[in-house]
Amino acid sequence: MPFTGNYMRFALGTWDNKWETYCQTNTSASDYGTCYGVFQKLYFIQSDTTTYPVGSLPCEQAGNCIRFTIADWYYTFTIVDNSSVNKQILLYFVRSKHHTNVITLNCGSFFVGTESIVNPSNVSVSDFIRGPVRARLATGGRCDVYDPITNSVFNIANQTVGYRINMEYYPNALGLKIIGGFFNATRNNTFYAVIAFIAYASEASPSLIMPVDYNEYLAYNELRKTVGWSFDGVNQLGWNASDIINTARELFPDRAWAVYDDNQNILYLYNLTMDYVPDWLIEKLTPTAMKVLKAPADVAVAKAWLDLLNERNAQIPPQAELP
Amino acid sequence: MSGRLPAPESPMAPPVQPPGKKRVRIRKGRKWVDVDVDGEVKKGRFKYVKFVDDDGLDTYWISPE
Repeated sequence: MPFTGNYMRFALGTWDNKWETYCQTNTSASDYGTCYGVFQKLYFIQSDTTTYPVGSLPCEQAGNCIRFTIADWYYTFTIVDNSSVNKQILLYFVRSKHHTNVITLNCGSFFVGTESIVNPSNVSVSDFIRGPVRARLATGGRCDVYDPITNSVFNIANQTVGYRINMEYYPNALGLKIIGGFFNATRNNTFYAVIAFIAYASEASPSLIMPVDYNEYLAYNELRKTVGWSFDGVNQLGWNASDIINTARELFPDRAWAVYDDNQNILYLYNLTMDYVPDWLIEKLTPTAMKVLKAPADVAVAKAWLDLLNERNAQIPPQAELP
Repeated sequence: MSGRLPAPESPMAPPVQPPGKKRVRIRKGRKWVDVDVDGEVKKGRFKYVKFVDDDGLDTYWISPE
C-alpha cells in the first residue's frame, strides 16, 4: 500500500556503541566528569555540590551535559512535531542507555501502536502496550513490549539499572507531542542518554478490527508483521488490506473479525453480518461499502466480537439517532 | 387508494426488473453502475443498499439517496 511518511529523531547525548564515546564517572580519574565523543547534551546526575560545585565539571564547562543535583527526580524531554497532524503514527522507538564507564545499551523498548493523531484525548503509551485500563509503562512495571529488532519481549521493570522511561504522547491539533523522561532514577554519578524515533505516515492505513489479546498477538509472528497491535481492537493498522485479510483467514478461521480498507473505504466482514457491526464503528469509519467475506456459522462468534469491541471502546458515547 | 389511473407504458421504459427488486445507481470508484438491490439497512446516520456484487459477495453499499 502506498504510504508517505516521515520520522522524527530525538537524541539526548550520543548513541553509538563505540568505545571512544563515553563519559568518565570514575571520581579518582583526572578526567572525571569529562565526556568523549558526545555531541549532544546528556543528563548527568551528581548531587555532591560540595566536592563538585555546579558548573565545575568538565562536561558542564564543555556544554555537553546537563547537570542535575537531585538523585530522586523526574526529568522529561518533549518532542513536538506539527507536521504530523492528521497522520497516523506507525511506530515509535525509544531507547535509552545509562553509563557507568562506557555508555552501553541497557534498556530498550519498541512500541508498535497506532492511534489517530486527531484524537483530542491524551493517550498514554500504555494504550499501545496493555490498554488504557492497565498501569502506565513507568509506574506499573507491566511494561513488557515486543522488540522486533531482537525478536524478544522486553520488560523495563526487569532492568536493574535503576531507571525507567515514562512516555506519553498528546495527539492534538498541534500535532504529535511526545514527552519522555527518566522516572525515579536514584543512581548518582550517572550519565543518561536517550534516543527516540517516531515514525508516522499518511494515506491508506488499512486496519484489522479484531480485539486480540496482547499475549495472543505476541504469539503470532504473521499477525505481528501484518498489523500493529492496539488495545481497542480498531486502530490496528497495517500496510495492505489483502495481506491483513489473508493472514486473518489463516490464523483465525473460526473467529469473527473485520478489515477496513481505507483506500477503497470498504469494510470487510468475516464471520459477521451487518447486524453485528456497531453504529459507533460505522460513524468512526464511515465505510462506503461493507462486504461479507463469510457469514457466521455460529452467531455466538459474531456476538463475542461485538461484545469485546464494545467493551474495549466503552468510552465512545452512543451516537444520537437522527430524526 | 388515490384513484389515479396507471401511467401509460412508455416505449422507452427500462428493462423489466425482477419482482420485488429495486434498481439503484451507485458510484463505484469513478464509475456509476446500476445494481439490483435486495434490501436496505440503516446503520447510524447512514443507509446502505444490499446486493450481490460482481465478486459474489453480499455487499452493502452506501445508499445514493
